[in-house]
Amino acid sequence: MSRKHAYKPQSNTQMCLRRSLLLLSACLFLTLSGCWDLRYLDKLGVVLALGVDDDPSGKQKLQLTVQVVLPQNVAAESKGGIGGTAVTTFTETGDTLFEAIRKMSAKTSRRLFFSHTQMLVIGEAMARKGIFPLVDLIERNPDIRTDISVIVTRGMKAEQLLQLTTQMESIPINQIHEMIKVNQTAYGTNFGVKVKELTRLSGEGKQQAVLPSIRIEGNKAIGHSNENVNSIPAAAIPVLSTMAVFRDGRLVDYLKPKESRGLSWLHNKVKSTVIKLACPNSEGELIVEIQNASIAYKVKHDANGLPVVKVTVRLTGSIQEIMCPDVNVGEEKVLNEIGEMTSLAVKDEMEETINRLQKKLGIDALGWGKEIYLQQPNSWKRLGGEWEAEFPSIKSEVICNTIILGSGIRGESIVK
Amino acid sequence: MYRSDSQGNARTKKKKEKKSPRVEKHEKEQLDPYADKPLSLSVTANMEMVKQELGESADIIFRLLTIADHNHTEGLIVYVQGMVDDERLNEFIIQPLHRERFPLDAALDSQELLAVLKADVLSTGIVTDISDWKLLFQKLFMGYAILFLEGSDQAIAANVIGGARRGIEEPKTEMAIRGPREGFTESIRTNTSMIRRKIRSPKLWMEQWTIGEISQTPVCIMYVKGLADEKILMDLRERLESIRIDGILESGYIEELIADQKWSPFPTILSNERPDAVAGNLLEGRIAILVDGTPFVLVVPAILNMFFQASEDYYQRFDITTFLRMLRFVSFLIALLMPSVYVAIVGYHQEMIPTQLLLKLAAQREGVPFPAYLEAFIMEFVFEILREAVVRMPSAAGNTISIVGGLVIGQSVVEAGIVSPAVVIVVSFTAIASFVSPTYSLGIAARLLRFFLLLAASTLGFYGIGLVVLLLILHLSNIRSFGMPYIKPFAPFFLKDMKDTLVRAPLWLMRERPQKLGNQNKVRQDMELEPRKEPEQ
Repeated sequence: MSRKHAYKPQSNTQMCLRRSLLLLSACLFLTLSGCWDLRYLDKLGVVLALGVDDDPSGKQKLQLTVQVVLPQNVAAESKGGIGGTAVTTFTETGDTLFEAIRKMSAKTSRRLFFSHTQMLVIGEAMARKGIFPLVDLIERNPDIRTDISVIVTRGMKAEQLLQLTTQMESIPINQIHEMIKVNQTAYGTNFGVKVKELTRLSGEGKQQAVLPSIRIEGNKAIGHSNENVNSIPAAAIPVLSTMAVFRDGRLVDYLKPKESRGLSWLHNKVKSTVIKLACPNSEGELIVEIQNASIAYKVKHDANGLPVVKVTVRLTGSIQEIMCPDVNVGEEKVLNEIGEMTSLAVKDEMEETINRLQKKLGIDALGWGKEIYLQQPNSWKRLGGEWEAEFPSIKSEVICNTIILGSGIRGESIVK
Repeated sequence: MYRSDSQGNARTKKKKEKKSPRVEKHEKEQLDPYADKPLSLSVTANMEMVKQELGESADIIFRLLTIADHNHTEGLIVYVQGMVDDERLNEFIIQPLHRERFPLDAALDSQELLAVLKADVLSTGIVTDISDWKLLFQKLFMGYAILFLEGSDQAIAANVIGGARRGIEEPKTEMAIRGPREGFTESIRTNTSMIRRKIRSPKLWMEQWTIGEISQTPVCIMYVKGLADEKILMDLRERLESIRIDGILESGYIEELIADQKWSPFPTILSNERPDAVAGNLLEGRIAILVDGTPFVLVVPAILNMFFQASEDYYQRFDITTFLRMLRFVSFLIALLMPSVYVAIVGYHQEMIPTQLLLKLAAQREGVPFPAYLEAFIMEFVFEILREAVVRMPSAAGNTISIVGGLVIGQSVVEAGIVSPAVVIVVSFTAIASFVSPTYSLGIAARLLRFFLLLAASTLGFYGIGLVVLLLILHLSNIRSFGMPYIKPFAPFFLKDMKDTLVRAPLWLMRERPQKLGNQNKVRQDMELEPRKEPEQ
C-alpha cells in the first residue's frame, strides 16, 4: 500500500519532459562512439607485409614496399580457375613510413588496410642504418598489430623478397611467416621476433636486438613471375638464413648456423631439434632428437663480488637414428652416456655463441644485462652505466643435463 | 509478492477512469433487451420471442411436443443444430418425455412438473433451471437443449453438448520424441479433462468465466490449490474480469489483454499445446488459462527461462538435457546476433577475424554491388518473406516454395554475384538456429529484434550491437509477469532456482519448487530419492 502512495501521479508536461530528456540522453550514446569508420571490405587493400629498404636514389630516407592481397585472385584459385597472382606490391619512397604509406595512395585504387599485416621485412642496407625508426609507427598506430614478426633480408632488398612468388603458399608472405615457425619448432636455427619484443628492448638491461634473416636461393630474375611457381622445382625460393645481430638497432653481423642455434638455446626458443653426435666407439653418426628444452638463468657472485651468469639447460630427447654398429641402446648405461654426449654438444653450441657475442662482437644479445638487473639490482647499479664495456668480461657457466627417453621402436642399428 | 498487488489495483482503477461513456452505452445496448425480461408463460410466446431475437436463424430448431405422462401438457424444445448431440437429445430428452411410463399427478402445475421432469425424467448429467433470457441464450449457444412448458415462466437447460469437433491429435507446434503424443484440442472440456487426467488431485481447482460480450467464450483457469500464489490468483481474476471486448476467438486475445507488458516483443505469458507441459507448470505453482476454441493454453506467470524449456527435458537424462538447454541458449543468441555480428565485422572490425577468413570473405565480396549491411537486410527480408509464404501456403504448394526459395533464389542469386555466399550462409544458419527455440513466441521475438540489431550494427558496428544488447538487458530486467521478474533466477538471483535454467539438475536434486512462486509448501520431494550408495562390503 505504501508503495502506491509513493508513486506520485505526474502531470502530462512533466511526463513529456522526462521522456524527451531520456530520449535526448539516449541520442548522446550515438556521439559517444569515437570510431565512425565504416569501411567496405571490397574497398580495402589488405596489406600483408611491409618491406623497408634504403632509398636507392638517396634523396629520401627509405623506400617502402607493401604486399597487398588481391582477393579476386585468391578466390579464382580456390575455384580452380586460372587467376593472376594472389598478391601484388607497391613501392614508394619517403622520409618516414607513414609519409610513404600516404604517398602510395596515388597508386592504389583501394585504401590500404594494415590490421592484417603479418610481417615487417627490413632490407639489409636499411637494417645497417637502423631499425628502431621503423617500429615507432607500428607501436603507435592502433591499426597495426604489434605482434607482427620482423625479418631481415640477407644480401638483397626487402622489395625483392616481397616480389617473390612461392609455391607452397599462394600468398608469399604466408610462406615466409610459416617458415619461421616451422624452423623454430623443428630445428631451431632461427626464431621469430615480434615488433613488440623489439620495442621492449629499450628498457633497463640494455639488451641488443637479434632478428632472423632470409635470402633467396636460385634465379632471382624470374623469381617474381608466375613462371617461377609453374616449374618443379621453383626457380627461386626463399630460404631462412641465420640470426642477425644488432648493436643499438644497427645490423652488425650474421651468426654462423651453429651459433645461431646456440642463440636459440640461450633464448629458450628451441622446442625441438636434432643433435648429431659421433658414435662413441666407432665410425659413424648418431642422431638425438630433442623433444623438450628449458633454460634457467641464475646470477651469482664470484669471490670478487662480480656477477656470474649460470645457465642451466634441461633437455629431454630420444635417439632417432643410429649409424653405429656397436651401440646397445637396450642398456641404460649407454643411454646415459649418449645423454652426456648430447649435453656436451649443446653446451658447446651455447658456449660458442657466448664466445662470439661476448668476446668477438661485444654485443649483449643474450639479455644477461636484464637478468642481472632483475636478480642482482645492486650489481646492475654498478655495472649498468658502462654495460657495453663490462659485458665482455662477465663470467658465465653453462650446465647442461639431458635425459634420453628411448630409442624409438627398434633396438640395435641395422648398420653392421 | 513484488508488485502484483498494487499493480493490479492500479490497473483496474485506471481502466475504470478511462472508460468512455460510449463504451458504457455500447454495453447496455448489447445486454439490456433481454437481461431482466422474464420468460413468458406461453410456449408459443416464448417461441416467438426466440425467433424474433435470433432473427429466425435457420439452425435453431424448435421441437413442439407433449408430455405423455402429464395430460399431454404442451412443451417446446429449442436447440442449435450442430451444437448438440442428436442421439443424446433423442435418447435422453425427447424419448423420456414422449414415452408413457407412469402417469404423473395431473394436479401438478407446470412449475412443479418442471421440477419433476428435471428430477425424474430427463436423464442427462447437467440440467439447469433458467428463468431469464440472458442465461437462456448463453446455454442455448453452448449446446444445451432448452425445454419450455406451457404455463411456466421457467425453463430447463439440459446438457446435450455435442457436434463435430477435432479429435485429440499430436501437437503441431511442440513436437517431442519422448513424451505423450496428445495435444490440446479446441474444446475446453476436453482440454480440462486432459489436465485432470495428469493431476488427479482434489486440489486441482478450476474457475470459469464467460468472456466476450458477443462471442460468449468460456474461459477457465486451473491451478493447484495450495501451490498457486493467492495474490497472483486474485490479480489474474481481476484482470480477466476487467476484459470488455466483443469476442475472444483465441487465447492470444486473452494473452494480449492481460499481459503486463503491452510494449515488448518478449512474451510474458507462455502459450502451450501440450497437456504434460501445462500439468508440469501447475505442479510448480503456476496457473493455466484455457480458452474454448483453441488448443493453446496460457500459463502465468511466465519468465524468460520457461521459454527455453521443453517438456521433453524432464523425460530425458539430465546430462543430455543440460547439453540441449545450452544449445538452445546459444542458438537463441545466434538467431539474435549472427547477421549483425557479420555486418559489424565486415563493415567495421575487419581486424577482428583471422586473416585467412578475412581474405575468403573479401574474395566473396569482390564485385558484389551492394554494401554488406544492405545485402544482409535484403537476404533477411527475403528469408522472412519465404518463411511467411511457406506458413500461409496450402501445404501442397509448400514444397514448390522451398524449391523456388532455396534453389532458385539461394543459388542463382549467388551465382549471379548479386549477393555474396557468406551472407547466404549467415542468413540460413540464423534461420536454422531460430527454429531451435522450443516455444514459437520467443522465436518470433528474436526474429523481430534481429532487424533492430542489424540496423545498429550497420550504423555503429559492435558498439551499436553492444548498445542494443544493453537496452535489451535493461528491458528484460524491467519486465514482470504477474509480479514475477522476467529474468528471475538470474536477476534477482536465486541460487536454488538455477537447477532448472541453463542446466537441468537430476530430478532427485530438484527438491524444492521454484522460489517466490507460492511461498508455502516449498518442498516437492523427499531426500530419499537420492540414489543409494552401494552398501560397503
